[in-house]
Amino acid sequence: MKNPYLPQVAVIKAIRDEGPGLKSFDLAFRDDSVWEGFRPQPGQFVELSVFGEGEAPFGVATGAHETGQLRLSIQQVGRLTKALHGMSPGDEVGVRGPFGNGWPLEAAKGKNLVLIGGGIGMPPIRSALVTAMAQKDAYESISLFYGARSPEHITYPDELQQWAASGDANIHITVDVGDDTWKGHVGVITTLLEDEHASPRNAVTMTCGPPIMIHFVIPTLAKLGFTEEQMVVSLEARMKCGIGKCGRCNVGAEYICLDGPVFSYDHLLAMGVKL
Amino acid sequence: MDRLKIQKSRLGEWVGKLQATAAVYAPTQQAGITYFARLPEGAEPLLDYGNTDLPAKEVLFPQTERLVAWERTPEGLKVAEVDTSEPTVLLGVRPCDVTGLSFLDRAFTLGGIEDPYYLRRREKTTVIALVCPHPVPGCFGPSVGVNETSPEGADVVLTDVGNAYVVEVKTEKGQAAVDVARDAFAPASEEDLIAAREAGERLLAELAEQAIPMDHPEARTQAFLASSAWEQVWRRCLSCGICAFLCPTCHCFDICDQARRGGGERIRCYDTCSSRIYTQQAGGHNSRPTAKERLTQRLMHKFSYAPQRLGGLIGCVGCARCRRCPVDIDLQMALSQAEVKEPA
Repeated sequence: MKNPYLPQVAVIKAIRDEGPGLKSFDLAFRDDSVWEGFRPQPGQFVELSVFGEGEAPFGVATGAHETGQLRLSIQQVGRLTKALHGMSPGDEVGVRGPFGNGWPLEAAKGKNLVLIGGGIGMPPIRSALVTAMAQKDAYESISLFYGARSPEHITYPDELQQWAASGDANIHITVDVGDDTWKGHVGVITTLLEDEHASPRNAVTMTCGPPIMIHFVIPTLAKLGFTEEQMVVSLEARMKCGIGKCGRCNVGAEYICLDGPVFSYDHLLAMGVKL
Repeated sequence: MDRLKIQKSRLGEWVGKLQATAAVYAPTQQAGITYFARLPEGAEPLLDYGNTDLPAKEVLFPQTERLVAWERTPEGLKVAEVDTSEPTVLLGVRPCDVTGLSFLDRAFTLGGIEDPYYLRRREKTTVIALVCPHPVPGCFGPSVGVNETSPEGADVVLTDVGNAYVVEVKTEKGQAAVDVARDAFAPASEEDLIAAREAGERLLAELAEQAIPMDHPEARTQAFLASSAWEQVWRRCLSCGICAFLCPTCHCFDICDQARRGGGERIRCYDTCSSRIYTQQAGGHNSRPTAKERLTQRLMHKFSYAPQRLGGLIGCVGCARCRRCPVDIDLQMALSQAEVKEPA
């Protein structure tokens, strides 16, 4: 019997500072052949083991075409992430997954893809963005709306510049609070969506961020004319098993780990879940 | 399959033969608590009791169990699964707990993903059920659809007919369990079968007096959650989680690591939706911050979500163990009293 609780050993290949308390970890399975059966899709998540500290769920930052290595961008918040931030290239961790359904990027082809990310919600958004950009002709357009707490909290700053320069995607960034060097938009993400006139025409939005951000983004999108079917969100929970058994992540009769983490908002409303 | 009988005086002989091939778990009393424990060689099983205080699920889904062990070696981490499953017989399981196992069978295969720890044990376990010789006070199994005389999920069903048990063999596993001591059994006579049927009818008649209205459980749950009685209930909840330990269908768990020098083990242990930290994320967000959201989840899971996901099975088997709540929260009684409009 296949054991979905058994982690595969992965080696930390590279660690990059992404901002205050935030690091990206590039992981490769010790046994190369594991990747073939692994291949995470944008929007899926993994359970990461730091042996001795435990396991926690993290959204995959890697694009579908970026094979061989798994990137996770992780804020230092609790016990496990503190131990992880103390690790070095060459150290070993465990990975289970990938779990969940992922972003509906196929169904979005031919449309204006509007990605909305906030704070540490960026890794799954990065995954969707780079995957879509790699087949940019399949979409009418690709836009990113990204809100960070402050300029120094912007995740993937170098890549954001490259993406903007490539012209393959419209990159819009805002910070809640600016500083002397910041010349860009200031204000929470909802003001960015309004000021840039995010358009619902032939569009689908995909949002990932803290619950409070999603709570305010939804009415803003509604105000801009987006329907609930056009609002796709990724939810988070303290998921332990990843396979619909441990019981933590129910939203209505569904499990964030198994049926999500990506849901369309009309579907959530039909289940009686309001964000 | 066969209808047999075994004299109570020969039960020990059968149990001894079963112990030669399997770990036999039977009701045991210790420090005033009755629960399923491994029966020592030569010990008589305790079958004449009300119901075990703790449900039989513990044998297949232990309160704590090891999932994975790891070692740090010069060649790197070695990670291996732990498998403690072994041929097992559960002897004297009451129909409510058997029905609870049928619920867990589906919960641990939800979404087509198999939980190897539960299922390996389940596949190696033979369930010998015992029809309650006397109605357990408070039991309302028939009100929630429990088959009290021949429960689904049992391999063998014993019915007490005085000096003997009439034995219904329901599955091939059950046949194998009987075959280890074929000499101890005799074919059941017509009289025996009548006695067993009458015992069942007597039990059901007595249980009928304890029945509570539990039809349309989801509508009842919704009506209760919308009633003024609801606030009185959730405000009282201590979030202690004892209900999850007592319930034959509760199966939520936590996973955590126990490290020692050079290695360690990954453990899973019971957890409960009534606990505040159950849904508390590292960043501070909690989707169920008060007992109101947590008890709503408990009720909705048992009476709405589970039937939607598990082919109509509700998460209640009428054992009434949860009435041991230290602050007397009796959710089933509350549901039975909810005013439900007949669904159109």
